[in-house]
Amino acid sequence: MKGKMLNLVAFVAGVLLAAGVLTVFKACDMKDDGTWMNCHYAQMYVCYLAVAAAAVSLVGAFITNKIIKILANVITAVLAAIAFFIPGVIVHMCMMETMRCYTMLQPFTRILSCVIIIISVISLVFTLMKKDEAQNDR
Amino acid sequence: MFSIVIKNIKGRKGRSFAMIFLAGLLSAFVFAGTVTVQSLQNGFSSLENRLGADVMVVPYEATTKTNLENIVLQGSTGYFYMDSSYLDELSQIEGVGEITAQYYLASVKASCCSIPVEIIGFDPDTDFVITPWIKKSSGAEIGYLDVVVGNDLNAFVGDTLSFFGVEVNVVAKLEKTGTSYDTQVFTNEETIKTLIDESLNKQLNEYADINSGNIVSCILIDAADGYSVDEIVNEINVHYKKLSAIRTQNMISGISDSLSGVSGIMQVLIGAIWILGICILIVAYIMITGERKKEFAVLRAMGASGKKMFGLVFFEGMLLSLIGSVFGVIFGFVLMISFEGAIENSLSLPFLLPSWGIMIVIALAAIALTLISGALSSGICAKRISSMDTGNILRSGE
Repeated sequence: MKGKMLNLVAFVAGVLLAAGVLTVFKACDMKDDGTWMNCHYAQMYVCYLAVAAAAVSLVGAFITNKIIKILANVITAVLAAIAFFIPGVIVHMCMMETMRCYTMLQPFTRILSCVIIIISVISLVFTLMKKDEAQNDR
Repeated sequence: MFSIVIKNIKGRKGRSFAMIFLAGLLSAFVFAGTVTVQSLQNGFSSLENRLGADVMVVPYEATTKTNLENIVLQGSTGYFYMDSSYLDELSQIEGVGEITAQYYLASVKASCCSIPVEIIGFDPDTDFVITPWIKKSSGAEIGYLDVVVGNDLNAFVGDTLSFFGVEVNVVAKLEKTGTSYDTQVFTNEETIKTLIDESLNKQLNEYADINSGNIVSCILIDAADGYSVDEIVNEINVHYKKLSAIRTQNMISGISDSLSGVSGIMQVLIGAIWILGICILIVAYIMITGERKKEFAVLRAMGASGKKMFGLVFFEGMLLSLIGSVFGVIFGFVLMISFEGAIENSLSLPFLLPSWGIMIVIALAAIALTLISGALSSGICAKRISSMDTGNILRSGE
């Protein structure tokens, strides 16, 4: 039950991350010439990863098979970890740290990625402990 | 007693969570609010130090055509020029102590992610404004085609930047100042003149008919000891019609007013939220203890003394407040560190986070303040509980 709740919280965090980077915490606007800066692509990659993490954690919440549950938690944590490093490390961003990509997109992505990673790890620990208990019972 | 308190907290998870949340909210607000006020004050003193000169002399047209304050204080891009012979003339004025010239130039958008930046040139031999900041951040010598970048620029020591097709080397990065310095690029006189020449060659300079050899953008003056700054300002403004001398203190008076306004509002808000927080905590504890009257009455009937009852309620309140305040401070800290840039942008005021030592002191103060609030509110309820009439409660069946 605890694991399911945690997976659902990770799902909500993933949805929030995806929605946030497309709205309030989006990267810099389009340039005058109609082209985008690099940070826009960082925003889109984070969004895709967040949707994937949310979907995987939702699967993890309703699946009873322990191995798939463990896998779901690990995949969610890895996706969130990649999302954490996208703005500024994997994808280079704009020139000034006063721009939106640094002041809004990067901190929001990093905070929510951390939240998803922590929740997934806790859920993973719960799932693994459950397995040990089952083995002890036998 | 500790085990009973822990069991009480674990037994009513929802109630405990609500109390922790309230305490957390209170400490997060006190912490974030105090750090914001402190950061604004730091930013302002950093700005005062960064201006560094008593008087700024610019071409008269600069005060009318461009928003001078935005260029000097807010980091907007812009440039203007006057004849360099004024430097020698002004140095002869009685009361002028130190005097130096600066050169401004705005870069143009280049690659995908670059935006125009303000490039400031100075003479390292006479400069008394920028050099102290560079020395503070790094001891690097600025040679020809070397630049020092502000802290908010995404460029690092060893990088190469291109301005008007001229490649320059980043030799140092300034420490964060919380002012327009953070988004500017600094270089020596020789390099800025090369860049101005290139901007003229590429027809990217508004001033097509200037010669980089005999221009400066502004002259900075420090009054000699015992001389009045106002007299120097008046002397220049009266005798040099094409120039405008501005007392730097007057330039930042607008910022000073905004700062005291924002700081004042923040301080009042912190006070109001704290009082409100105490009131909410008191009401919450009264409601909770009201619900738990029977539980306490049973404990009394089982032989728990009034003092023990007081201890139970008080200790539970303190423990919940402590947990909540620690989480609240951590939350406030993450928020302030992560969204420092967004806060700075939204306030449009110089903003410089305090040092780690000061942050820890503020965090401890916020935790202490929340604990005092928790102690006050739980103490009031504990007093009521310890003096209640057990018989009446058990008989009334509440």
